[in-house]
Amino acid sequence: MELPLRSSLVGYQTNPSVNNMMFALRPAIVVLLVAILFCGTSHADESGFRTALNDEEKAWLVAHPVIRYAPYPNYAPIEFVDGQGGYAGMSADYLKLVAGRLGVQFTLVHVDNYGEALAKLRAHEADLLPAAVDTEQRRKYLLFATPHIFIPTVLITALHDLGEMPLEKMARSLKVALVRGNSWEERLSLKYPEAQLIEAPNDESALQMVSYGVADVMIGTLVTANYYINKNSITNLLMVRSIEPTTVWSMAVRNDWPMLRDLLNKALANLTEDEKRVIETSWMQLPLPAWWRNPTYRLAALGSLGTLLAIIFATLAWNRALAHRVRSRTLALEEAHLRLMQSAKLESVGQLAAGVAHEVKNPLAIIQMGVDYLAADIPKESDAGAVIADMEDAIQRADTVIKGLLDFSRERKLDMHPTDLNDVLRDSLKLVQHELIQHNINVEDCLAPTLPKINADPSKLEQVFINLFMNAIQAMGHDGKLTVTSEVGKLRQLSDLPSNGWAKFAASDSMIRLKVEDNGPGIDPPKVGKVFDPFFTTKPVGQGTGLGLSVSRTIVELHEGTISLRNRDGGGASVVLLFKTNQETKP
Amino acid sequence: MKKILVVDDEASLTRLVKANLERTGRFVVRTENQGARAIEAARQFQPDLIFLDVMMPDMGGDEIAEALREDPQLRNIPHVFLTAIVTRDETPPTGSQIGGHLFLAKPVKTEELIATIEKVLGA
Repeated sequence: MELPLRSSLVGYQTNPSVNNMMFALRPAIVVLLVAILFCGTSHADESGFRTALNDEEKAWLVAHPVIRYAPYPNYAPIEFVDGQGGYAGMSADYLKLVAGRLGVQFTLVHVDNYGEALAKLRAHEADLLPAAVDTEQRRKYLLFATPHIFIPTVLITALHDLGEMPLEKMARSLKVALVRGNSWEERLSLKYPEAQLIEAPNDESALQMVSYGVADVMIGTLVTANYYINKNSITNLLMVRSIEPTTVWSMAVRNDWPMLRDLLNKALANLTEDEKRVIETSWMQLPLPAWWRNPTYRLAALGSLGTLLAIIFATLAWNRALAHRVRSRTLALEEAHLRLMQSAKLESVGQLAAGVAHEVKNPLAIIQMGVDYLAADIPKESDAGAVIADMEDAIQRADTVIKGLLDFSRERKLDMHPTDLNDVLRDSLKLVQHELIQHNINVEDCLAPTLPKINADPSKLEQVFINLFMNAIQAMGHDGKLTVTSEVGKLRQLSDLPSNGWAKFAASDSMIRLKVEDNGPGIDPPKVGKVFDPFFTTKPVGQGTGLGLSVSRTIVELHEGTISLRNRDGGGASVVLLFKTNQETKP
Repeated sequence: MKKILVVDDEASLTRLVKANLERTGRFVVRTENQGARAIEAARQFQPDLIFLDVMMPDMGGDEIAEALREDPQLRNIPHVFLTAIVTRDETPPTGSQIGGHLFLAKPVKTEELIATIEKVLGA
């Protein structure tokens, strides 16, 4: 019966160099293992074994102290002659154990091939074949001991369609490569005389014949075929299936020495299971590839690594997204909080302003009327006239504060229409022309050639710009330089953005940026963050209401814009206003 | 001489307005410090123009204006609101129109009062 090979063996491929190395090391490993085993047990076993021999056997051994053996030199791992000319392989290990039991010395007779080994035995030029397959022909001149090595027989081919072709059909229709002297040569030629058998000097050559197409199929043993396929890195051969019978090896002796066969049988029977297992596992266990060369491991490792990386990246991305969300939510909350505070402040200021306006404006009106009354009789050039003038100024200042308060608190309704901010800036500059000339302020016009129109209330923005210009003029005093800039671009293209105030826009938003810069002393750094607070002023007492920038910010925010102030590196203050150009413009 | 009625709950203000306008020799001024009595004062005085404070305790300037409009004898007398609520910038010196009414913001100068009277009366 022919059995399919176990897939794990068929599909298995090892790296030849690693495999070779493993084979090279094997004799040493086996010797070591056998030595370890023998240290504990062999001496007792051997001496016990020899004591149990009968006198005739003992006498035979004494008469034959040296026994010559002729192994097949190239049949790893069953048997082979290693690089140092020593005998190695499974059979060699068995022979060593047997030699120990019998207390005889085995001497190696070198032969080139199996045919020569058989010839040596037939001519009694050698006494023992350590591994021989029992055949009818060989029995004519050999005595076979009890089999001790069992290896599956396999069909090796490069043909993918060999499949389950019966051996008989295969023998008749295909060219079968066999090692000269192999037991299958005899078996096939007897059974199928028409079989096309191609002799090869050894298994390695036979495999190459199949690989190169000289032969169609080879019959060999599993471990030997595997060894040479890997050794020669043959990639086009398949071990398609095993065939019966399993290849069985025995020790064979020259046919005139039945005593030796009997002694070998006794010695082999005396071997322990442990001793046999050590030999088999050492030589027959297919060497495992290095774990890192195992494709399954690699695939699993790559898969695990990929999964791990994916998890790490996903975690990082998720973290980043979360951090972004937290940041934007925090910003939104802070903004909402600020707006709430601002709104509460506005509300209280508004209530206060309405009350103050009424309560203060009436007395102011009385004072104004009183001043007018007195002024009518007093020459302006007189001292009393100067007092009257000062009182007039005081009334104006008080009224300005009230006006600011009312502006700040009043319900704001904008008269929005498409507006060119450059026009508003130019108009505002005209309105402060007198102040600019008076303070000898040079105006640098850096306005963009054209700006897209945005929906705005020009009169309110004019109020903002005038406030900014007046602040700058008052900060610079005399001989300053006022730079007014306008530009348009995507938010992400605008360099030198203020540190805050732009987060509410998207990077892709098209923006108009206006800048009002002076070269005055700038704002005391700790106070920069407060300039937009109501009633905050850096101006001398009586010269500012502290409401100008608060009102300006409110107006800018009603235009969905932002306003921010910072000190310039070279001195002076810079106020930046940002407006979206893609707001919906109402007709 | 034009007759001007000034209605405001601030007596010192009405007194000074009266003094400043009358000293020009062009106006005769009557003052009233209670809103509720403004209509009666107008009927008696028959002014050419009335200055009305907006916020007064008993009767507001807007109510007085409404009453004037409803009175056939008084409806043609022009009135100007004198208020502490609108700001100076929203009221040019000659008064600003808000809802069909003229406004002047306190504190107001005598010359602004005169300019407004001249504008309204064409004098």
